[in-house]
Amino acid sequence: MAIDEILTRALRVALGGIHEAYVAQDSIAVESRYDVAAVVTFRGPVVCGSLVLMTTCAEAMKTLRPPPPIDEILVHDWVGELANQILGRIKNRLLQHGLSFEPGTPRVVWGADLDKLTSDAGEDVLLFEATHIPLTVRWCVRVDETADVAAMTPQETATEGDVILFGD
Amino acid sequence: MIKKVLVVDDSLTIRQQVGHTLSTAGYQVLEAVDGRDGLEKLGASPDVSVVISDINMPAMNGLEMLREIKTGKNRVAVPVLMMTTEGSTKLIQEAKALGAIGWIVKPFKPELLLAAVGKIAK
Repeated sequence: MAIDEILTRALRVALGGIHEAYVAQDSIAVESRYDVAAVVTFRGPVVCGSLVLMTTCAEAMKTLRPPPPIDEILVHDWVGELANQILGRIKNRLLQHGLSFEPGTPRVVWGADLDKLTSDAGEDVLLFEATHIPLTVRWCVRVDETADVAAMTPQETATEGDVILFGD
Repeated sequence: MIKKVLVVDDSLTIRQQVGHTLSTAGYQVLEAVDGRDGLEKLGASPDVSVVISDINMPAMNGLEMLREIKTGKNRVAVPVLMMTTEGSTKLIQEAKALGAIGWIVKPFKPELLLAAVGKIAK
């Protein structure tokens, strides 16, 4: 499988999993412009780049289920955590193809016109985008073109939600 | 006696979600925002029954904190459960070798988290 196909699939599966885990069935299409985004960078021997998750505070709030009160600070933190979980899922899927990277910690930004954040990623960067309303992810990846992905050793990974107790 | 659980995560929402799950089940919950803060909280409350920790955090990550808890000069005999988005078996084995008692891949299921904590709490 070509590396860009591996990367595309990993992004779509990861975002789909987050959508299934957190987004309510009655969530509607986002008509307003994105007003909050989380950015996480990552670096590995073959792939590096950044992931940007964009949504609206109002929609993000619907995916949050802690006890009240839910305020803006909490929602901003939650958007960062969602980005962290999406990148974690991507990492777990890429490991199955032998591709690894170390994620950074998420940074959250808010304001108007956030959809322009990654509109000019540069010519040597692969830009992937996936949307599962109300979440959109733009994933900018720089790939080492000399790497032989087919020769890499796949790693086993645990699945989201797994609980492993070492004494068992 | 009410058992104490220390939750170490840089995400406020995760600390609240885990804290809510545990406190409604009768545990007393302490929070820390990174590994360094976790060590300080553990030093101040040595009667903690379980530590639940994220890995990817600023200042000090969860594996560095685990190493300090298990082999540092102020080592503490407390079970440490890692809870992270990471699912790499290589990393899981590393945590096991450092002395972690278990591993949960986020997002956590409340009933499974409670079952695990109930089983390992001192």
